[in-house]
Amino acid sequence: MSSYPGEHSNIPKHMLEALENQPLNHLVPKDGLATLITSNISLGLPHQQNPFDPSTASSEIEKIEGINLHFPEDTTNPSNQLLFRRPVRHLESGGTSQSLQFDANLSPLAKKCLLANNSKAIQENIKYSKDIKPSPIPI
Amino acid sequence: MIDSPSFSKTLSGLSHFDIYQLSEEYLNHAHKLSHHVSSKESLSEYCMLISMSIKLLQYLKIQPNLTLDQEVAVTFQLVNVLIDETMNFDLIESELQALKIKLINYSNMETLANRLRCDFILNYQIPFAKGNKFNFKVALRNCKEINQMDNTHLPSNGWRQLFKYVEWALNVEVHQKKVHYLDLTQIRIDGNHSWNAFTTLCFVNYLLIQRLEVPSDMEYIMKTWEVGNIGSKLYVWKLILELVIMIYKDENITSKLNEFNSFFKENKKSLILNNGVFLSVTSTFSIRIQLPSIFNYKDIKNILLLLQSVSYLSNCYDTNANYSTVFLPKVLKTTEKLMKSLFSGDTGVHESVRELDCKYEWYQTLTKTCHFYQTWEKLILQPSSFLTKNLSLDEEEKSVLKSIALQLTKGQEREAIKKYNEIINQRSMPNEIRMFALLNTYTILTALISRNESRQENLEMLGGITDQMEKLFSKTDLRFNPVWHCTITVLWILSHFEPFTKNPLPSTEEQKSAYLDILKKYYLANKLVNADPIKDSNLLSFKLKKSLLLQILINYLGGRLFETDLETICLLSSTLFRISKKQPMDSVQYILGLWHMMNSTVSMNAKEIAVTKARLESLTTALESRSL
Repeated sequence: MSSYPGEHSNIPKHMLEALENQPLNHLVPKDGLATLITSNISLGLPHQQNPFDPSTASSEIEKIEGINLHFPEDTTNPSNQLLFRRPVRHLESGGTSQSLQFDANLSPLAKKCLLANNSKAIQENIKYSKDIKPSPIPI
Repeated sequence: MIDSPSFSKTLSGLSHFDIYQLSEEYLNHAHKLSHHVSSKESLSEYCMLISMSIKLLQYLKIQPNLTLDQEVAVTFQLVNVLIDETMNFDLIESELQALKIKLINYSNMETLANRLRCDFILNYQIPFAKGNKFNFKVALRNCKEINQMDNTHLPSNGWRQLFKYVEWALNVEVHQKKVHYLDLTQIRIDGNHSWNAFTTLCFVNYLLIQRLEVPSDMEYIMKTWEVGNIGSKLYVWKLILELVIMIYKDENITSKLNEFNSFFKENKKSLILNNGVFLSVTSTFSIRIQLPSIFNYKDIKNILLLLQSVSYLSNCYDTNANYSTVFLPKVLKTTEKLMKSLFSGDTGVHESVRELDCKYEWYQTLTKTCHFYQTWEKLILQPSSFLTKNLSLDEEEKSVLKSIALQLTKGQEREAIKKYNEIINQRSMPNEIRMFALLNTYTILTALISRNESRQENLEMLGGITDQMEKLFSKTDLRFNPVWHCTITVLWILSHFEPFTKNPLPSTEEQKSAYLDILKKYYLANKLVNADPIKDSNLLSFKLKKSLLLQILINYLGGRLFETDLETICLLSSTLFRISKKQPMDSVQYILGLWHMMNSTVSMNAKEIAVTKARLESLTTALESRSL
C-alpha cells in the first residue's frame, strides 16, 4: 500500500502490540461463586421436646395463688452473667427507638414472672460481646 | 450454677412441665419478635426474654426429682439456647463435661448416644461458633482420639461416620494451606441417602471453592440422585453445584437451566418455607442443616439470576443477548427486598437475632458480588470511564481492578506490570486472579519486546512469567476451561509468529506446529465466515462460549494463517472489522481495518478500499488524540 491512515503515527501496526493496553476482559473471574453458596451454612441440633409428663400441667395456672415467681440473681459468680452476641447490623440508639412491647402477647403467668424478677435490672446487667461471629461455618 | 438455698422455695406450685413450657414460651416469643430488633433498647428487651428462658432451664436442672432422661433433655435444650444466643462458651462446656461425667456411670446405647452428642457439640458446634484456630486445633486433637475408639464406644451405625466428617471439617480449618480429601467410601452410611448426599455435596463444594478438579466419578454419583431419596433441598444444592461446575468451564448452561425449570414445576412447593433439612444420622440422632442461601425458593431464583449473569457476562456487548446488563440490577433489587423482608416479619419463620444477622450479612456479600460484576461489565463496555473508587470491594478485587486500570492507561504499562506482579507473588490470592495477572503481564511484556522496548530486561522477566503460567495452569481447574486454554494458545501464537509481532520469540518447529494444530481446531470450531457444520465430535470440545475479543483474535489468526481463498479472506476481514465496533477496542479495530484495506486492495475492490480508508482515518484521529 502506498500510504494509509496512521502510517506515520505510533499507533500499533501489529496485533500483539494492539493488546498492550487491552486487558483480557473476556476472562471473567468466577472465584467467589462457590464460596457464596455455602458461606452461611450451619449445622445444629434440633429442638428438645418437653421431657416432662404433660398430665402434670397445672390446669389453671393464672389462678394459682401464692407462687413466688422470683429467683435470685447470683451476681457473685461471673460465669453466671450471660454474654449476648452483638449483631453485625447497625442498631439505632436514642429516644426515638422502638420498644419491642414484648409483654404484649405473653401468657399471664409469663407476665407475672417477668414482673416478679425485676426485668429492668436484668436488662441493665446484660453484656454484649465485642467480637462477632454470625454463624458456624463448617466449609 | 444458681444454688442459693432460698431457691427451692420459689416457683413452687408449678410442675416441672409448667416450668419447661414457660421457658419455651419466652424463647418462642423472643424469636417471634426478633425481626423487630432494630435498636439497643429492643435488643436488650429481646435478650431479657432469652435470659428468662435460660434461667428457667437452669433452675429446672437443679431440681431434685428429675429422671436422667429429663436431666439430659433439659441440659441439651439449655446448651442449644446458649449456643444460639450467647457467647458463654465456658458455661456450655462445663455443662456438657458435667453431663458426660454423669453419664459414664450408666452404660447402654442411649447414654452412649448422649455422650457422643456432647462430644459432637464440644468438638464441632463450639469451635465453629468461636471460630479461632486454637480451638479448632484442640477439637481436632479430641476428634482424632474419638476416632480411635473401638466399635463399642463409637458405633458404625452413623456415629463413626459423623465424627469422620467432623475430623475432615476441622482439618480444613486447621491446615488451610493443604488440600484435604474426604474419603466418601468411609463416610457412607448404608441406606442413608440424605447423609451420603450431604457429605458428597459438602466435599464437592469444598473442591469448587479451592478450584480443584471435581472427579468425574463424583459427578456421576450426583447424577444418580433422585429428589424422592434425598429431598428437594439437597437436590437443589446439587443442581446449583452442577451449574457452577459448568460456569467454571464456560460451558453452555441452557440445558441446566431447563433442568431447573422442570425441577421447580414439581418441587416449588417444598421450597417455599425454609426450616432447613433434618438429617437423621442414626435412628435416634438427627442434625439440622440450614443453608439460607439456597434452601428457599426466592433465594434460589435470585442466585440463579446472578449465576446466569456471570455466565453471559462476556456477551454483554450484544444488545440482543445482554442478560447480565438486564439481570444484575434485578438481583440487586431482589436482594434489597429480601433484606427488608427479614425485618418485616412475614417470612413465617421464627428465628434468633443471630440467624437473622447471619442472613443479613450474607445479603450484603451478595450485593458486593453484584457490584463487582457490574464493574467488570463496565470494563468491557466503557473502559474509558472505568474507575475503581467509590466501590466497596474486597482487597483482592480492588487489587486486580487497580492493575487493570493501569494497563488501560497508555504510558502506565510498567506500573501495571508492577501491580500485576504483586498479585502474582501473593500466594493468598485466588489462583484464577493470579493467572489473570500472569496472562496480562505476558501480553504487555511481549508487546514491549515487539516494540523493542528494554528487550533484554523484558525477556528475562518473561522467562519467569512463562514458567509460573505453566505451573499454575496445571494446578488449577482452569486447565479444563477451553476459553482459558484458547487464550493461552492465541497469546503464544501472537508472540511467536510474524506479522503479529515485530520480534517473534524463539521456538522450535515442533512447538510451532503443535500450537498451530491447536489453534486450527479452535478456528474450525469457531469460524465466523463460511463455517462448516461440525461433524467431528472431537472438534465439539473446541467450540467456545461467545466473547467478542477472543472470537475476533481466533478468526484473525485463523484467517491469516490458514485461509487461502481471497474471497473468504475478504469476507472475513470485512466481518471482523465490522463486529469489532461492538465493544471498545480501538487498537484492535485499527489493525483489522488495515488488514481489510490490504485485502480489498489485492482484490481490487475500490469501494471497500475507500470506505475502509475513511473509517481508518477517523479511528486514527481518535487514537492519536487519546495518547496526547
